[in-house]
Parts: sequence; structure tokens; C-alpha cells
Amino acid sequence: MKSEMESNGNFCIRQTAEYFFMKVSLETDRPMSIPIAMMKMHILKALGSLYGQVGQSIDVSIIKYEEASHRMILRIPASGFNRVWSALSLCSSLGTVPCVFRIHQVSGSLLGLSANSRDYDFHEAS
Amino acid sequence: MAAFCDLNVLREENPQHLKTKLSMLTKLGYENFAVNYVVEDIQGKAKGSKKSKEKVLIKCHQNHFQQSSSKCQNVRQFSRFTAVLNDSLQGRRLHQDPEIQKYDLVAVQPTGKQFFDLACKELSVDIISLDLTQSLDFHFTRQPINVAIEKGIHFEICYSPLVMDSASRKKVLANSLALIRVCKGKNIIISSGCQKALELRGPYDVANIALLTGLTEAQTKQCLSRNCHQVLMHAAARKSEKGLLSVFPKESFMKGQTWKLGYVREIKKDVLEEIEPNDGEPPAKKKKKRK
Amino acid sequence: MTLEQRGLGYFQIDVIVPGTFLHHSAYFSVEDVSSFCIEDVSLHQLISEEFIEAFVKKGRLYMISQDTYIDQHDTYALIPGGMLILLLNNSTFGELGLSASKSAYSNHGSNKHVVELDLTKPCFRPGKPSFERAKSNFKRCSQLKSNFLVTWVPHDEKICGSSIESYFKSEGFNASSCRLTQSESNDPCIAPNIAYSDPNGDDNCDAFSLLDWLGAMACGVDMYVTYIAQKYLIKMNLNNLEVRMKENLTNKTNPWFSLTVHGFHDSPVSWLNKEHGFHLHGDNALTLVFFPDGCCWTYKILASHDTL
Repeated sequence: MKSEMESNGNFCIRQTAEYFFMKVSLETDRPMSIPIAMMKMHILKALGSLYGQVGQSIDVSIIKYEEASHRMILRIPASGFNRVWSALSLCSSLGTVPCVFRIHQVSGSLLGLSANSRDYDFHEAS
Repeated sequence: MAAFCDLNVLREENPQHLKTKLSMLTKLGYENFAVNYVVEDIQGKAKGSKKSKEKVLIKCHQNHFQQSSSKCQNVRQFSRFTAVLNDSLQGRRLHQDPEIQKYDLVAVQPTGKQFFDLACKELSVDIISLDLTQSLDFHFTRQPINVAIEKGIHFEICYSPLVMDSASRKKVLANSLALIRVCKGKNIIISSGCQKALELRGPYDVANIALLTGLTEAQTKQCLSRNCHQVLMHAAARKSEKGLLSVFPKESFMKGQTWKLGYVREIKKDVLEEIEPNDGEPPAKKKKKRK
Repeated sequence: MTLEQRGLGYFQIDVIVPGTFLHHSAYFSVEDVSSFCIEDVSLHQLISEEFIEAFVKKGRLYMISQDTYIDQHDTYALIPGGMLILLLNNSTFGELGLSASKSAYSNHGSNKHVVELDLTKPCFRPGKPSFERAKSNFKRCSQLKSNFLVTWVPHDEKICGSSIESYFKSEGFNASSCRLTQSESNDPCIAPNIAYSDPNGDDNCDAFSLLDWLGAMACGVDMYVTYIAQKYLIKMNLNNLEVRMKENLTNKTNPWFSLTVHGFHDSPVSWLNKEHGFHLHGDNALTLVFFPDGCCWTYKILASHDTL
């Protein structure tokens, strides 16, 4: 964290992101119901298979989860961000079921995740 | 930076499977892809069948085109031929066969040290694609790789074995780390080479995976976009003449630009009268060499 | 500084008011500004003298190319003040042949060139070399075209902002108005206590935790919240909203409110016309937290390819 006084008397604090947030959904080739605790376990398993115990020590938390669509928002410490991302994208199965984690958006702030101009459909519904 | 490419979409017997893969690729944000036709033995290749198959691809491509939204306007499809290189005679065949030269991209998959050197130094191909899931029986050396880089040949790393199982993941990571250490991250392309649509990953995911192979953050995105475009350019240049020429009508020059005509006058005095600005019957075209 | 002066278009606004009361949503209705999409506009059509005189100089015109991703494609924007900004790939730049500066992130993997044209300059008119050069080069490069999102707020209040739409229609373009959505949620919530003079959070909630709290509400993370979200497009006229919310603040009991403006992720410039890029994400948002005495906290949320 860096604080400084600007020329116009305003006070300015700069901070790089401590946590990264990631909007993820899980796609499976058949419909499945996965409760949130199971999902957390799968994520830890994916981390463990690529990075072992060091990977599993990264503090990943699911802060929002929609069970029906398997969409979730993850909070990841900035230091482990790349590792979690690669572990999720290299995960190809839950047990025996083929699956894929699709990462839709990442951001350094939760507020940034609430909108995405790339997904936004500007055209009037016709 | 340019649009994301996947230059290794394996051709499928069933056009429906290929279509699912292509539509998944466009959904994930790729804009250019090459459908790959791998041949173990060039001699044994049935020549006639290839053309008809390519037509099927183009047809399904167009079908796919109609379904997709305006976001996919720029989608382009290329064809790629990959020959497994296990005989030095095959290299020559690769150059001579007009059927092979009809493909947009030509790649080789060398199976040993001598074929790797041959591909780097002598063959005129676009991509060298090693099978990184096997343990290679040779070490990468700087000299042949530097020759290849100078010629504009790119090395391919496929990410689908990384996704699939952990045994091949170890091999691929070890081999690509060795390759990237020697070529210093230059002239690498990353493509899928996958069997199923579920194995495909988005471009930003792949860029992140590529960090594991020792590339820097800036290089990883280039491996998916800029380097792939260089491959496409290299292929276009390999087929065509060595230079590019753009032709403008003389009238398109603005007042302030007529000095360029004067420059031509200096080199070629005999066209002096013809390109005089106030001339009644000027020649319609003026040539300007760009590169 | 008002939001308008900070500049640049946005596509979504979130307003978060703590407390349980909620005002009628007519407060936030979009007034006298319309956004619309036009299809297949070539850049040389944007620098015609008629267009510059009638719209660029007579109001705040904002245009941004649509479906162009800043880290992959050529991207164009016309920002208020009459600056036309083109962020070009290497090959397009070579073909265009206008002077450009290299993108600040060219060492970080984005091989981009920035072309800036000030359309309001006195010397930028037909007959002058800079104009003619730009025009002929734009005409020659046929790939310099895109669909655009357009918003125009005329300086003269008597002129209707939608007259630009009829101009484009008369020029033969397809124009369609943009989708506006508005959503609201209203649950009792416990808002964090904050104080303007205490951003480090000695006695209250600190500034960065507040940002997390606001983000959690905006994303709908399960908490008890009062949340009014409104999504509408590049509406330049934020001042009305800002002024009315401030009035509300002085009269009523809520201790603060926050206003988040989400800018386009693929815009070539971010707030205050600083260069913007997209590496792994393209965050480009501005959050203002207003306090009753007129003070305000400002958060700028930026990504790694952004200039401070």
C-alpha cells in the first residue's frame, strides 16, 4: 500500500490487488448435481493433481455458487492466481465424468466482475 | 497482437464432429483455424480422396458460418498437411507433390535427430511439430533450431496431452521446457491438436497454461496470435513470389504527393513525358515497390 | 471534477445506497440521451467536414467500435473533445501510413500503434494536407470499418440528441437503438460504517474493505442488501444523476451512497484519456462514494495494461 498527497490536496492510496476474482462455470457432458462442498473438493483435487500439497495450500474460496448452472465466483490470493487458473484449465474430469472449467472473466476487484462489455449484447431484443 | 488462432484442429472422419469442434473454437474466441490432415506415410496416401474431403470441410464451414452471429465475421479456415518424417526421401516428395502444396500450411513431424535436423535445415515447411508425448531420443541443439528460426519455421506445442492425463503431461512439460530453453521462446506456436471438443480451452486459459512451459507472460499470448499469423504469412510467401507490389492509379496522388512521381522520373528518364502531371494521356498506373 | 469531465463512455452504472429505504426508480430514468448502433461505418465517413461541423464540434460525441477486442483487433473510438483514436495492429498501421506512436505496452506483448487525430483542430479541414492525407489513406484502407455505438449530447439544449441518428440514416446506414435494462433489488442490509476522514479504517470500515463489500453486492453475493442497479449505455449525462443523488444525501438519513461506472473493457483509452489495454482482463471502472458534506472517495479499478 502506498499513500501520497496529490498536488490538489487530495489524498491518494494505491494498492495492487491482494485477491483476484474469477468467474468460472463447470461444463460436464451429462447433467449432474454438485453441492458446493463437493465443488470445493474438486477444485482442491485439481490443484493437488498439478501442484501437490503446495497447490492445495492456496486459500481458494467460493464466494458465490449457483448449483443449477454450476456457475461460481472464486476468490484467490494474487500470489496463487496463475496456479489456480492453470490447475482449473488443465482439469479434464471429475472422477470418471469428463468436464471442463470455463473461465469467463477474471478481475482484480469484485466490482469489476459485475459487468463485462465483451459479453454484453447491445442490440435490442428482436 | 492479432486475433487468436488454433492451427491444429485434427480432421475427423465424421464432419459432424469437426463441426462441433469448430463451433466450440469460435465460441471460445478463436478466429483462425487450420484443419490438420496427418499422414504417416506420404507414398501410401490416396491422392484422389483428399480433394473431395476438403470440399466437405468447406461446406460445413459455410454452414457453420450462417449460424454464428456477427461476432464471427472474420472467421477464416485453413487446411494443413502434416507428414510424419521417418525417411529422408519423404522430404523431397513433400516439395514435389503438387497435391501437398495445395494445402495452406505444410508441417512435418520428425521422428529422430537426423530428421529433425533435416527439417530445420533443408525442408521448406511452415511448422515443425514434434510428438512431445514421447521421450525424445535426442537433445535440442541450438544450431539447427537457429537455422529454422532464421528461415521463419515455427515449432508447435500441442496442449491437449497436457489436459488429458498426467503421464503425458509430465513428458510434454519436460520436452517443451527443453525446447523453449533452446529457442528462447522465439517461434513457438501453441495449438490444440485435440480429439474432442471438450478438450479445447479458451485462448486466455491456454496462454496461462503456457506459463508452465517457461514462456514469459508477453510471449504466451504471442504464441497464440502473432506467431500464428507469421506462420500464415510464411506459408503465403512460400507459395507465391518473393515480393509484394501495390499498384496505384496516378490520379490517386494528392497534390502534396506528386514528388513521388518526380522520384520515378529520376530513375527512369524515358517515361518522363508520359508521367508529366499535365499530360493529356498519362499511363494509368504507376508501380511502387513496397517491400 | 464531475464525472463528465473524467470522460469516456460506459455501458453500465450501479448505484448502491445503504439503508432500507428506496426511492422510486423514476429517479434514474434515462433522460434525453439515446444510444444506438450503426453498422459498417468506414472511418473516412467520420472525418467528413459536414459531420465534424454538425456533430463533433456541436456537442459531446462518443463513438466506439463494437465487437472489436483491443488485444486482437484494430479498435477505434471517437471521444468527446473531437479526438479520433485508432489502436492498430502492426499490419494495418503499415498499410495506413499515418503517423502514430507506439503503444506503451509494446514491450509487454501488445504490438500496437496509436493514431490520434484531433478533428476539431482549425487546420483539420478540406484542402489542408493533414486532412487530405488522412482522408485518402482512410479511403484506401478498406478494412478500416466497423459497427459503432454512438451517443451524442448537443451543447445546445434545443437540439435533440437523436438528430445524429437521423443523419446516419439519411446517409444510408442501418441504425438500431440499444437495449436498456434496469434491475433493482431491495433487501434490508447492514451497511458498513465509514467516515470520509478515516480511509485506513482505524475506527470504521476501511476503504478497501468497502470496495469489496460494494463488489459483493454488485455481483449478488449472498448478503442482505439494498441494491439498485441500472444498466444503460454510454449515457453522457451523468451529472443529473449525480446532482440528484447528492440532494437526496443532504435531505435524508442515509450516510453515503456509491456510484460505479463501468467503462468498456475494449476502449483504447480509460478515464482521463489514459491508454487502456487488455492483457488477461480489461477492468476499466470508476467508483465514487459520496458523503453528506460533499466529500467523496474515488476508486479507479484498472488492469495491468493501464496507465495511472
